Amino acid sequence: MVLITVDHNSKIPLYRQIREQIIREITAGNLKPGESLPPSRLMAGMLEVNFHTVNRAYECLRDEGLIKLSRGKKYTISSAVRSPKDMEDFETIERAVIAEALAKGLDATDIMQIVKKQLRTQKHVRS
Amino acid sequence: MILNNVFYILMLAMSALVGIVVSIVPYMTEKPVVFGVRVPASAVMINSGDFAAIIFRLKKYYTIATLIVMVLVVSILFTFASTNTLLATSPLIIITLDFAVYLFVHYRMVGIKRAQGWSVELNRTVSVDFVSDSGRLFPWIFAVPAFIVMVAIFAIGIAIYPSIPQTFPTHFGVNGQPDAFSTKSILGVFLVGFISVPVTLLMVAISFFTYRLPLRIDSSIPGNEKRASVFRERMSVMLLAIPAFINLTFLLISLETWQVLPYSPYNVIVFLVPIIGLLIMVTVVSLMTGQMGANVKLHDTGSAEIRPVGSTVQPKDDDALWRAGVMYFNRADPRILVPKRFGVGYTFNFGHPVSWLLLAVPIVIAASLLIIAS
Repeated sequence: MVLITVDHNSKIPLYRQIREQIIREITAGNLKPGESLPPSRLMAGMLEVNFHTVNRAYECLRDEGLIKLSRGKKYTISSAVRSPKDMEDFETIERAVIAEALAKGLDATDIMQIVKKQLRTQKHVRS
Repeated sequence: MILNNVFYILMLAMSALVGIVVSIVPYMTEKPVVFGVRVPASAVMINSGDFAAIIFRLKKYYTIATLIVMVLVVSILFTFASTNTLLATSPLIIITLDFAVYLFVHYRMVGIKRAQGWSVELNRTVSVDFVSDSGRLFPWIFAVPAFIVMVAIFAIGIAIYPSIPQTFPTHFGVNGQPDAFSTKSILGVFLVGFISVPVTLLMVAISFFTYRLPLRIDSSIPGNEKRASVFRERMSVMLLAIPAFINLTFLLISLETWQVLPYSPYNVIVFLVPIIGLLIMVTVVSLMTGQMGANVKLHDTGSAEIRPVGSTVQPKDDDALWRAGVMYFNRADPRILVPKRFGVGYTFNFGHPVSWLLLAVPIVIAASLLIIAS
């Protein structure tokens, strides 16, 4: 069971919402390595978005290495490899996020608390 | 005269069953869809509200009105009907009149919604449940009984083929006397068996197809995604169980044509036992599950899984896509089958051209069977 929710009124672009929802379902183990994503036309029709929007989300995920284009033009979930590049990417994102948090006056304890809470509450099965 | 009594009792039971099933439909639908009209979940789910009281009354009136319809139709027909054919229309007349009652309440509901001025239009959240490749495996095991009975028809037929009489009755008139005979042939002996094959395969195909169907979830009600997956599972199991009952009737009919089951006017009752069992099974499962799992009791609705904050708002208003709240017409929806609005199970998306094609298939099959038979 894979639940995808989009809010058409949200300020977050639709393709980003779809991308985040798919990532969450991968993390939670609802989409396992090797399983295929719904065809973009079906996904688009069901979510009432343009199918280019879904394709954009899928291409984003492919660039990030989370999914790959398999035979039969189907996108399938890649297996988690924990590459050095992923570590680098994560550090880049974290650098900016931590900088912002520190600028706003949050201290190391606050940040660690939030990170730990997220790791605890987000259902994750990969790694 | 004896057969007439049998027929009377069967039609009476059939009419009562149909009448009761239709009258309890409002208690099987999704909670925020009342008589084919989508209303905010908060308005119906909070029991103390004025609106919840209005809905409670409307449902009660509908049930009482449809039950009165049933009693009236049955008493009038069974007192005055001069022919059995007229009597046989009883369930159809009940359904037609019940639909008129539904339409009346549906348009009352449309009026109430307009008067309340709910701006469901502003909500634009769409939540969809897809089935992943391995998410859950299709419950193939439940297809086994249907196939066992189907194979049994042929196995028994082949085993006793030499002892089947050279001529046997193939049709019985309303008065119970055989009025058509056939000389022994493969087609004649296994006609009912041959019908059971496409029927079984069709039901298994529908079950398999609907199992993979993405469902739009009203995530304003906690636990609805779990309910949807229970609904999906039970509907598929039910669809796989249906041909088992039908094939049992086919087996009994075959046994009569082969004269294993000695001919008797009461055999009709025997044939209808699996069908009545089927109707009861479908009614019980539907009532216990409810549309999209609306009647499924969950032990913990507050699941630990994190869902985005945005998912707790109302789904968008889709009333315009449902003609009279029962006929779905949406070209933008890629699905051929969609969950019903007033009832339990699936209905066609008439905005999809394939729906019209599929509706034509049974008509073509029926027509070709008539041509073969003549």
